[in-house]
Amino acid sequence: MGLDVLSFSILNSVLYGMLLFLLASGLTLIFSMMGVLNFAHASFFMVGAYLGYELSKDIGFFPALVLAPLIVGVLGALVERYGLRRVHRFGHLGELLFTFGLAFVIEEAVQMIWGRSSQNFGVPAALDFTAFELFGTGYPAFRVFMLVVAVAVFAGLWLLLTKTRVGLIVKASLTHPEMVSMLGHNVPMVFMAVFGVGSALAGIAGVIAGPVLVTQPSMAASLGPILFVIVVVGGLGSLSGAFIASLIIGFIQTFAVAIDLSVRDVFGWLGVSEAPTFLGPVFTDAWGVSVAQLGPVIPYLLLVVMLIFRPAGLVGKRG
Amino acid sequence: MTMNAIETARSRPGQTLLPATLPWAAVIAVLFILPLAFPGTAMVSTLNYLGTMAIFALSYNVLLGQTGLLSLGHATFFGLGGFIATHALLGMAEAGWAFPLPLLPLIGGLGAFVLGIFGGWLASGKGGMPFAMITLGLSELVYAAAAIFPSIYGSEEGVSMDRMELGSSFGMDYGSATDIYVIVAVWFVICAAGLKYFTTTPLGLLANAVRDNAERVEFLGFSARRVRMWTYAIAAGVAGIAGSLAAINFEIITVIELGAATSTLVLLMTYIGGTRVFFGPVLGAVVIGLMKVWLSDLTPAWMLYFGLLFIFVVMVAPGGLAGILVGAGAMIRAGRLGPQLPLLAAIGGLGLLSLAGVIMLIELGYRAGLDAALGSQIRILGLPMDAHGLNSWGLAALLALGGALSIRPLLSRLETLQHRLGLKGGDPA
Repeated sequence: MGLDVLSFSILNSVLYGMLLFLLASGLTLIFSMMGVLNFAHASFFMVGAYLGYELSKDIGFFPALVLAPLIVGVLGALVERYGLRRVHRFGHLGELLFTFGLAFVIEEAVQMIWGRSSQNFGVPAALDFTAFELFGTGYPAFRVFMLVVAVAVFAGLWLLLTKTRVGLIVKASLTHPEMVSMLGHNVPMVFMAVFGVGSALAGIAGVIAGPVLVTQPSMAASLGPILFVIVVVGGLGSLSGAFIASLIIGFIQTFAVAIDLSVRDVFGWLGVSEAPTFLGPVFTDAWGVSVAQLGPVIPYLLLVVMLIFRPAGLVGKRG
Repeated sequence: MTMNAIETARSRPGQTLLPATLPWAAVIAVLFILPLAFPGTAMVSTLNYLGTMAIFALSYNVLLGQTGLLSLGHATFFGLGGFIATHALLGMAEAGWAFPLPLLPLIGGLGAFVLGIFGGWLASGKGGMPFAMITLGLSELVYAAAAIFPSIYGSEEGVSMDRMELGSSFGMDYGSATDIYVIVAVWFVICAAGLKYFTTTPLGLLANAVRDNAERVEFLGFSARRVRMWTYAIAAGVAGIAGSLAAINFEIITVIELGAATSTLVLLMTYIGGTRVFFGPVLGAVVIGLMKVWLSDLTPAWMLYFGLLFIFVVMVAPGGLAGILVGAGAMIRAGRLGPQLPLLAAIGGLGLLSLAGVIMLIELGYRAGLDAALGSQIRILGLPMDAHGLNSWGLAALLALGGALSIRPLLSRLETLQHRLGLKGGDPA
């Protein structure tokens, strides 16, 4: 791997990791609140991408970047108020299954409105240029913009949670809802707001990721499990854990594509050039396995290994 | 202690009212009548599919209903069972062995059971969320591995087989769908009876205890982990049998059978049917299976209906369809249904109106969006409508919203009435 590929891969890894964190942070906040993972979180991401596409056709990309997440946030708040709060009395399984069903319905509804094929959600013209050159290869400005947005949102969220009174009440409501309620704050309202903001974060991620990843109905189903890997590996309920895990997954998935190495090559260095045929066709398959093929598998392997050996995750609070 | 638990389980209401053998006689009678009532290859094929899914859903309920474990990867064992059975058939046909086809699910089931012990050992450390996540991870692993091992999973078109290759046995050559129906029906009775018996075994009762309070089970000296592991393996084994039957029925097995979509399907079937009544999952498998077979011909929106039905059940009737039936049955026996009947009928009528409105909205939505190429004119529930017409949308919205809003005061009146009758409101199961 040359220095150019390495540096671009690092850039892309950080970018992808930050994008994942934009989603994982909302999911983590919602988990701290409900005690269950929200299966529909990636669906809000997808709705954000589609709304971003639809709105940017009429009002331009930058207004859409503001408006689409707002709509997704309101949608999320409504889902909390009229859906989740009702199934709460049936326990965690009820809430979990509700979000599961919601993800299913949102995927179908998106197909109903926009069809099954992918949408032509392109990079806006204002950002369609090369930001800088490295080793003779250009890096697109839109990607830099994505990184800036992700970091800005992250910084804003961090400031809101740690430096303001609102953040204080939210954090207290997550851990001691009864006490906060007794102090005169409207805890159900706080929960609705947290769910709305978490969904809006997913919406922002959707709008900025839409032009780079493909805007298509399967984008929620393919990203959802990865998000679960992140919040579980990072430690359920931990924002810093989710941050670390997002970057790890970002690096794994980016570098797996960049590394061109297969089992055959490894044995080639050892002087074995042909698959031993007496072991049967399964080993011939295994012989050709490359790192790029293993890329999608590694996150799940990480998830299973982590849950077996360290169920609390990297930065887990719930031991 | 264990004896005590068994006594309690046997004295549950509803079980003492009928002799234990009567439902089984009914099941067998229905299985005999079905192919006579619905002749023809297509119908019998559908029955075979429903039977397979019913076994699959029953196996899933061992986890969800009996042990309280939410598995997000149960299709892994359904698919792997199918692949094991298919490869066993291909291998034996090549070697020229005479192996009776009806016993093939035994091989798939045993294979899935052994894999289930391993999977259960990995996944069973904790229940709840960690369990769900490990099963999700394992199933994604197995699914992703399919791309790496084409010699096992076949390439994208899967592995196909010819079920007649093993030759005739038991006087059948397995060419017709009716022969396969016999196999599926017999395996259904075996699996259902076996799983029903399992609910009365010490392990089966411990599974209930783990569901209700794992910590106390641990205090009593049992290993909750081991209980989870063995119930997981048993569920996996029965799912393997179902997968083998599916492979025999369709003569092909593809990677989709062990993917997330199939895992979702069995979860929805089981939950919609009802997890707290033994035959609930069968009801769910039949209803959802029929929706899948028939509704998919009628409307492009069938998946959406299916998801909305699931959300409806989760929000309104967590006991599932079987829970509703059992609750209604209990009310009739107690003579408490009569006074509620007018209100229930009114709610049901308004509910139907609202449902009609929702159906119109969805069908109009599909015609305006995904299927716009088919033109805007469409007949919905017998009414000619126009996906670009304001009247059509207005009528649909009026029915949907009006029905839903007018139900609300009736619901609170029903609750008051139920309180007066001394019935608890809400969940019947």
